[in-house]
Amino acid sequence: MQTGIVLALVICAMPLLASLVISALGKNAGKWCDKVGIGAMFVSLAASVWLTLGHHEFIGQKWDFEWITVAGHPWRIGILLDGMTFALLIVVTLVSFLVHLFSRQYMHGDERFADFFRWIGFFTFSMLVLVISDNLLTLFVAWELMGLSSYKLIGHYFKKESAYLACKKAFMTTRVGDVGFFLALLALYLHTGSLQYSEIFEKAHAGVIPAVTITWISLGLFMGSMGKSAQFPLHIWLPDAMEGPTPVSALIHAATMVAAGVYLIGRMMSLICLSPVALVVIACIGAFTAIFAAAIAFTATDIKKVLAYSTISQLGFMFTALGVGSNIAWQAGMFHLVTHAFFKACLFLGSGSVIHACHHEQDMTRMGGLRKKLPLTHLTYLLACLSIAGFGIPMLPIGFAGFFSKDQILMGLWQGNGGANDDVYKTLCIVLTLTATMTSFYMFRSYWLTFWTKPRDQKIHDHAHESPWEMTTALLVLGGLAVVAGYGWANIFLPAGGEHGSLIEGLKEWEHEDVHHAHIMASIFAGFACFAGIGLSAWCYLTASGERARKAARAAISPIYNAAKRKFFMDELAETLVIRPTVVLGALLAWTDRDVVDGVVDSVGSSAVATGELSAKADDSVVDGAVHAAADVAWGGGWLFSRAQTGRLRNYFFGAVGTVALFAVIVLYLTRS
Amino acid sequence: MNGLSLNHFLILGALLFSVGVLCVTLRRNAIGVLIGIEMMLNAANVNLVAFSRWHGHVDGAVYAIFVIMLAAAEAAVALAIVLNVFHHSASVSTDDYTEMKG
Repeated sequence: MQTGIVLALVICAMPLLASLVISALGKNAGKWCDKVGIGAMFVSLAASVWLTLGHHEFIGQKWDFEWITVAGHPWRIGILLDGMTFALLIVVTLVSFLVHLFSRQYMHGDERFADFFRWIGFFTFSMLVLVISDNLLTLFVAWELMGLSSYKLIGHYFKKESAYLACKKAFMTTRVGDVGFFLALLALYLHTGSLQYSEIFEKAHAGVIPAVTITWISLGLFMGSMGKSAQFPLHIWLPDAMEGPTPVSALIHAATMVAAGVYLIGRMMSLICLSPVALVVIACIGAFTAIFAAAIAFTATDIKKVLAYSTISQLGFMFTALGVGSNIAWQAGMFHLVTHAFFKACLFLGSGSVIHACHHEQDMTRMGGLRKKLPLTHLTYLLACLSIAGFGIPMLPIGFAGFFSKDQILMGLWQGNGGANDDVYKTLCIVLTLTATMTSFYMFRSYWLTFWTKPRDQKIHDHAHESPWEMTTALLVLGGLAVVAGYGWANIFLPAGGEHGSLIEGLKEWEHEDVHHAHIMASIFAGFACFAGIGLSAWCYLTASGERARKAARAAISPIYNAAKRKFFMDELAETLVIRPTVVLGALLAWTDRDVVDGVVDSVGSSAVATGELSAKADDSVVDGAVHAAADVAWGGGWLFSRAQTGRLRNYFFGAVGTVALFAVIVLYLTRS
Repeated sequence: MNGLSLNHFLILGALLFSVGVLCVTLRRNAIGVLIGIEMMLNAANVNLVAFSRWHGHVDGAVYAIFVIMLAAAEAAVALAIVLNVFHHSASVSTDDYTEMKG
């Protein structure tokens, strides 16, 4: 086995091992679980760093084995190390390690401390299996394991009703998407006879799968991603999932689990890009989700809810980019996945630090002026905000991580894929520019409201304190990465054409000089979005005139504002259109089952019982009666004859003599002459 | 022969036999029963001797001797049995011997 493969196995095995060890510790788990978890993740991270540093040697290594043979067809599963895997491995291990470190303090004193570490370990393991697998089968298994772990983690405070409702909602909503995913897997297997990436792509490009089927398969895969990555209309679970502890939000709902859906689409790009229809659908849903969630984020006052909607919105950006189907847009989507993981994890952990400092107060309207109290948290939150807003110098390669990825997304959209839908993509580019403006506005809104302005609750402000070193270290590392993660690696790990070769076959390959015009347009758009958003929010929240204007504007659009405040009635819509009909259908099916199907079964059963009773009666009375009667006759006869046995000698003698006399009389009578 | 004919002996034998039968059936004393049996045997002897005389052969008389011998043996065995039964049930009344009751 090659070194890279061994390292990948070690990376995967460590979190699982930690999770098992914590389970095995039993009562001592509370004392050791944090050390076990952090230690295991450290080994995992070290192996991951080794892998990344040695990427020249390790990239492209693969290993697989025959798992089982079903109906004469061997299932091969294994590991594939390519650029995408490398990028995701380092993100997952690093964020998971920092989240472990952060949680050690944040979750301190929690009554289910050990459970928490057990499940984030297991969650990390699932995500790692998902990214190293070389086929859709193990990916799907890991995908579902992640669903399970997220269920457990969101429902960490399951004694709270809202938490257990939230974990149920997350599980059920993602399951809706999984139906499409599973159907797509079946269709793929039906047409290609395999679920290994390489084989699927080879056969798809050889024209084995009909074009219409490719579209349906792609949409099925996207449906799975919509569930996992919270795209409209399956996004409703993610904001509610903020019921979980804040580090969980950072790990699952920003950096890794929601990344699984994007990863799936990015991984299957070679197949999806064969269907222009599927591409445009993905892009449109992504863009709609982006602007839709951004609008809701404007109105959220819970600091975690702002981040939740911002996550949905940023995932929309990624899907829009992946929906273009060109080399630069694909790279941009995956690139944004990684940069987003860093700055969003930083934001979530930063919000966790704020919440920790404010004694579990999450409402921004009660915070304010915390920058002096929490200097490190403030600094890292600012860096991450600048990164998500895409802060940088337009046209020059200098900026925060989000600057590069967002820039490239807009560029990819403006450039399109050279097909019939380029006008659509240009429109989506404008939509996303608007969304990016909104992004920088609402992110800085949360920043101003939390760290600037006057303290609105003096008591909370007085008691606020900077978090312990484990938490601030995690924040500083992620904050640093939010600044520098945009440099230098994208073409190595996500090669998309040109001198680097391409990871994805069949994409529209734009050359460097083709995109010059788009690059200028995107820089203008992104620069405008960033500075306009930040400036506007600073004006609105830091100056008196701005505040008046803000209140006037809010009054002017109050119907829209109120609708957004209520999440555009998506929960109510889901309740009326999906949940209620499902419950009614369920009741109907239950009735059918109970009263019709069971009725038939019951009547068959009861008729059998009746027949049995009848037969038993016949048996008792007729057959047994005959037997008994025979026995009675024998017994009665025996009784009768036994009466003759008096035991008195005289009687016997008399009997004997009497008989002789009788015979003598008969003989005499017969021989009379 | 002084007015005695074969019939007289046969009638005597039949009467004697009948007395023996009645004795066996009606007596309750086991010894009495044995005496009844002796009487029936001797009734048979009377017949045997009478027919022997009447036919002019000695065969019948010889049989009578056999019977007397047999009766002696039988009396010995039967008395031994009665003695044992008496030991067993402390009674010589045949009505108390009900072990054969069905």
